[in-house]
Amino acid sequence: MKPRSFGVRLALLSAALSGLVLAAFAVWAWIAVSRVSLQAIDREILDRAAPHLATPHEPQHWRQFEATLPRIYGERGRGSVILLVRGRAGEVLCRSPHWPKDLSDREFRPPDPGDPAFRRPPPRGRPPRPLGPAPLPMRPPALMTRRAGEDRWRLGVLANPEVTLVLGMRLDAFTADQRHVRDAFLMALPLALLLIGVAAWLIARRALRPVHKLTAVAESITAGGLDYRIPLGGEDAEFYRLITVFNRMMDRLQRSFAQAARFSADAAHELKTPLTVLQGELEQAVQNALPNSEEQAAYNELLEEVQRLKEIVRKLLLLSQADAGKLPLTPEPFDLAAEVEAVCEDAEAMAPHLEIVRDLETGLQVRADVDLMSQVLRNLTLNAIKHNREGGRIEYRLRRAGSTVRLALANTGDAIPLEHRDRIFERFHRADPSRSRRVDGVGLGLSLAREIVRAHGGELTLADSGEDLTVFSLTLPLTDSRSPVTALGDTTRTAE
Amino acid sequence: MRVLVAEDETKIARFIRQALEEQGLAVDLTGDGDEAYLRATTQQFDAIVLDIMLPGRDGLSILRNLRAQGHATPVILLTARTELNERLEGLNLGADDYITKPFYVEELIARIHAVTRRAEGERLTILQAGDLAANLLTREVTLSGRPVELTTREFSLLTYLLRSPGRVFPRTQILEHVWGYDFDPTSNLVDVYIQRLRRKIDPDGSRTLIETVRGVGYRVRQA
Repeated sequence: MKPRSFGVRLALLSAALSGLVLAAFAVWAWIAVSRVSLQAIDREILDRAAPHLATPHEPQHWRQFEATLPRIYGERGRGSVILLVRGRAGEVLCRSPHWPKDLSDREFRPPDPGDPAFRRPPPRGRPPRPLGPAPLPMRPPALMTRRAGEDRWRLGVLANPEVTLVLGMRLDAFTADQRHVRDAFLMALPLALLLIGVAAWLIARRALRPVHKLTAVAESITAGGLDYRIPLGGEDAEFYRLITVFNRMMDRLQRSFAQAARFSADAAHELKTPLTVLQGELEQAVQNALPNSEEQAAYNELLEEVQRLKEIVRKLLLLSQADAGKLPLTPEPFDLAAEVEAVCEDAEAMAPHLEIVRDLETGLQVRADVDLMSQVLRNLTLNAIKHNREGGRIEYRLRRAGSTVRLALANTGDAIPLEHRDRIFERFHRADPSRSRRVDGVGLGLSLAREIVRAHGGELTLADSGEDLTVFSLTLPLTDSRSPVTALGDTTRTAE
Repeated sequence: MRVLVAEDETKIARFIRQALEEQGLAVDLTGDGDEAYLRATTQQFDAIVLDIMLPGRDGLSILRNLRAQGHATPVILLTARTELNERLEGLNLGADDYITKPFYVEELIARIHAVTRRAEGERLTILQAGDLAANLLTREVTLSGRPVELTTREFSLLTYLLRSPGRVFPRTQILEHVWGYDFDPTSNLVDVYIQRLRRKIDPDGSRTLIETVRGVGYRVRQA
């Protein structure tokens, strides 16, 4: 699974968190604003209605009052302010023509003069009028919200002993501004979250720049490039420490790599002297022995064992050099098809019982070490022969693939068991430990082959291993563009 | 022909000397760099075999000084490390060839012959055995004047055997020279190719140019 980016996660987290905070704030603000505006409406209703109840009025007064309402509230108030006045006997003295049908008026009972509320002074203490009769007593106003159809109405119910007055205001009409603000907020919220997210992502990226630098250096460190260090400059304390620790670790790694490489080189050198003596003496012994004698054959057998030892030492040295990124390459351009063709010929000679199929695109130039690359090809071929079945075949397919050249080498025979597939490129790995010593040396072949191919900027993989077909895939960069071989020592020696 | 061999490992030096002397070469042996340099500058040699790791003056510095003083004697470097820069440095300093340990002494002899021929300006381009002739430059092979078609491998196998008639070539040695490294020494590759080669250069089986040495390998019959 691909790990999620820390920057993206940070951006999402900040966006979510700010979204939550913003939403909570918005809800709180909405409630508060709603309450304030409701109070304003209530006050408006009471202020509008109360003066009319202070004194008794003729029935036509109420109709006049009703007619003035649209003028007071203008366009906004059209159809949004309603009035109902009932007399003592329950008769309707006035009802707005647009009184909503769904709004029952039955609950607004006519005033009961005996109501004890009328004996108390009116709730809103006004100074007694200097002229005229004393104000009528008023029942404390009741305020309520009623739903009628789609609309919500805020109703104020006031009463004096003469009449009950209901003045209503349609909430939607009087809270439109508020709703506009809410809609604007709802639209702005995603935008704000996006902005916050992007900003957080940018900040995270900026903050993570030292980490990216670290990653880049770590990536560029192959065994051969252990001398890379991350420059320290103006980093934050946390990264300063990280970089220091990383650099120190690289120091240690480089030291131990250098020691290991030197040890391998020294060991190989130490081994080569006795091997040279052995091989030289045995070579002479074979020459000097009586031709076709048992003695001569015995010397030759020893010589073959020396050869085997030589091969192991050589491979170990190559592997240690590859580990140190110092595989001694002498790259030169050559036609890969020709080299594959030669190996095909060898395969035919070694395994006459197998069918060798070639499908080689010619003219594909690679720049590589011919000796090492043909060793890789031989190694793959020997494997293909070793693991083949009687009457089987080996197929070589060489194709250009973009800026690379791909060799698919397929052989019939049993599939490589699943548990071995990842391990066949490991050092000293052998599928069958008891049997294959004679054939494969010490199991260094494939791991060395892969190191060699990688040192050339290519790749060697097990492409497939099915019922009766195992396919290895070797890719190398083409050199049409004269791209230099990336390994160390891009110096051409004239071929001997 | 006189060859100076500078090699401090006495056992290696001994078998080199023995092998070269068997080939009729006069060998001067030294195990010390300073002495090697002294001899190389004061005496006349046809070729110098120089180990890179020597006590006293090392091989590369001997070579550098020889060339700086205008000594053109052919030099073959013996190296134990297969590190590229060392070989390259040697070649850049004017070594005529190098050979990596462990080596077949026959290979060393062939290279000594090659560099001395090169030094004398003489080129042996045609190897001959009876009515068989192989041209190293044009890579043409003729049998009684009639051309024989050989593959690359067959050609290098034939010329390798032809260059030292009478000498026994073990299979491992043939494998290493013709095919390079990493072949199982018990593989039948050499035998298959020898059979093919015999069919081509000896279609009717009347000449037995390439002899089998039982349990060892092959050799070209000495004329």
